[in-house]
Amino acid sequence: MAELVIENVSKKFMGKTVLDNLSLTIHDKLFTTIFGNAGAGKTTLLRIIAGVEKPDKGKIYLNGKDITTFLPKDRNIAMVYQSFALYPHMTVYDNIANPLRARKMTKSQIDEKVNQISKSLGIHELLSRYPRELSGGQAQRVAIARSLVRDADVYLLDEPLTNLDYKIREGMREELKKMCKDFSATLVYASPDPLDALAMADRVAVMSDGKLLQYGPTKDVYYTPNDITVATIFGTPPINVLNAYAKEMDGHLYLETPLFKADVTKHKEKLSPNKEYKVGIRPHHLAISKRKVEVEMISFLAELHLTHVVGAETICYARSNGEEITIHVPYIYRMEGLERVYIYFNPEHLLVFDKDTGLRVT
Amino acid sequence: MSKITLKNITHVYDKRVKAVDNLSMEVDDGKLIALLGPSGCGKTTLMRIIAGLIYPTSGDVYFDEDRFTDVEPEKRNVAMVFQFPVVYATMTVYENLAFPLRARKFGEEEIRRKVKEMAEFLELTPYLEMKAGKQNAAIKQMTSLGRAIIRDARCVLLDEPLTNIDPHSRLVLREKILRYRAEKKQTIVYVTHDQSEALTLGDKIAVMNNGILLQYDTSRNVYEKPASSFVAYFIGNPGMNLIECAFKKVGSKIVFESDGIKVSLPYELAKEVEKETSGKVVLGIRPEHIELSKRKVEEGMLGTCILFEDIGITKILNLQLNGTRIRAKNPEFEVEVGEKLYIRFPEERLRIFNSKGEIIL
Repeated sequence: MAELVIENVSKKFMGKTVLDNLSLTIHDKLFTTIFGNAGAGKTTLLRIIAGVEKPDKGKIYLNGKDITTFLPKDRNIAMVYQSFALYPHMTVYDNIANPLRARKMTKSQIDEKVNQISKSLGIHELLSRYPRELSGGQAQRVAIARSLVRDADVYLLDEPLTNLDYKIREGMREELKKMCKDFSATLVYASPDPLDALAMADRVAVMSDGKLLQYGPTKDVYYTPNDITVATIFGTPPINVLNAYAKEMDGHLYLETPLFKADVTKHKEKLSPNKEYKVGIRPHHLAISKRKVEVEMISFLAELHLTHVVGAETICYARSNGEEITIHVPYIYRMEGLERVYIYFNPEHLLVFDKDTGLRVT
Repeated sequence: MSKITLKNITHVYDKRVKAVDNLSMEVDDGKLIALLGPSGCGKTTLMRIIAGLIYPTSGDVYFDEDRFTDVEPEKRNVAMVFQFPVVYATMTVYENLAFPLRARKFGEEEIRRKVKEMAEFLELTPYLEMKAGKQNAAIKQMTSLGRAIIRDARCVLLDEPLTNIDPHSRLVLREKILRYRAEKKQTIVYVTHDQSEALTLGDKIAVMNNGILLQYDTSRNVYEKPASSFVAYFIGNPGMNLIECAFKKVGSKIVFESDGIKVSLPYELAKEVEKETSGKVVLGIRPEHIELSKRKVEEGMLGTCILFEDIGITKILNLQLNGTRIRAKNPEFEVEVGEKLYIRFPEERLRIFNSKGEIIL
């Protein structure tokens, strides 16, 4: 059982506010991602939970107990840092086994634990090597193994995959998610990569400038962001945003943008005519076709000027009426020179935001 | 601008770790090739051997037809950009860009013209008079790139230049590299662990693992016709599913079977596998090519969804078919963890590798 409550925590460094009255409850046995760009305050929050940093204000509770003043070693919280250090004179095996030896486990218990974790992190064949014989990515996995090998109430991971190869990251995401479930562990994972949260997290907390912007089940935060900031930072490639103007005509309500006009009559109650809005549409909700397709969707013409193949997907960049549009399609598409294409989408996927407050309206 | 030829390059560190293993390849003049592989595969070592920063244990480096193995790095006229931006911190961005030109005794007038041109191309003009050390990682890396390409080098070596900068600048820099290559027809070797960079940038892609060159081919071919099971796994996100199977001839078909998996191919198409004396092969299928259905389908294998990730653009499913775990990818499919599904591998999408990992089909 591990429930971690962060209550009204604030922190300043040299007069600069890094955490601003932040409250958050981390639930037992869930995978929670703290998401935010560099400088959002993620690392400071993790360091305060671990006890290596003291909050200026606020409290930390673990299972109902106030641990704000506890030393790190008395908290039973394990932390993996982005940059790490291994003991250079010890083999990989001994590096991983070290925290267990400190806990007086038997040789066979240690053996079992080390084997289990090194298999799931794909470093099983490196156990007899020394750190200087490892690549950067291998060393990082050893550091992760060393932190996860011991039993802790909460595991804190500060961007542990940032320096890893893409391919390892992909496998590690699954392993971490599976480990969280298999060992019923409570994991708090800080990352600037939306994909980390989308692929792994049960819950995501979106932070910006020391503030918590939104916290909830990952899917809810992604598909129904509270405001335009969350919509913009939590998604990759970033959401397309356009200016829009609401107009009433023949009993219908339309949103006009430089690229298209969308019938939003069914959201009539939430929108006012003759008012400016911002609309957002995620790149993967846009599709591309060279010919006009007769479907119940909105379409507009654009000029495709760049395609990036990412694995088996493609990110396409297009221009239309002075706007830059990003389209993310789930197949390989290689353009041959500039192409004129139709971009279409289902209006259900439009997110509408208030122009002034940035809050989501529909 | 030169053709680069590597002949039987081997490099061993500390007499025990073989970083590059008897590797030979040619990079044609004016081409951009991506050297792709996981960390520890030997790609950076190989690049340093081309630059002359490491003397190979054996083998030779040629630029055009000339042997350069014994030539000092500073006499090779090779430009390099590293993963972590290297700038002269106390100099301005202008002076950083001018540095290689001053070293080559260009006149002030020409230096000014070249720096101005380069700064405009890389969008560095607003930073020219600022100290390079005070800039963010992206501007620093742009400056390192500018310094590397401002002179006419024999070739340009880029070692994971985009890894340590923010995602947006990464796209900008990527486009600059593409444009530079298109305009200058420079020979470029681009080291990366990121397949999307390799697939987007490379005229050809050299896939390495454990110091060995596994495939050297176009991006289309490494995806569609991987030479080995490692390439099949490494390209794609997630990579190809690889399932060890026993096989036997049944009537006019060859049936492949493992715990939970059973597929068949026409004998005429798959008879090559009979050369495999171990009786086992590795079946490959890409996650995006797997067909899923909640209703029973012909030839459908029954599996349970054990992990479900909705990553926006697509959904990734981990499926358990008895003792075999595979990944499937589908942009539309919604499913609960624990739900049973029917799974089909379309015949034309199957790849077969022998027990050594080499492609048979």
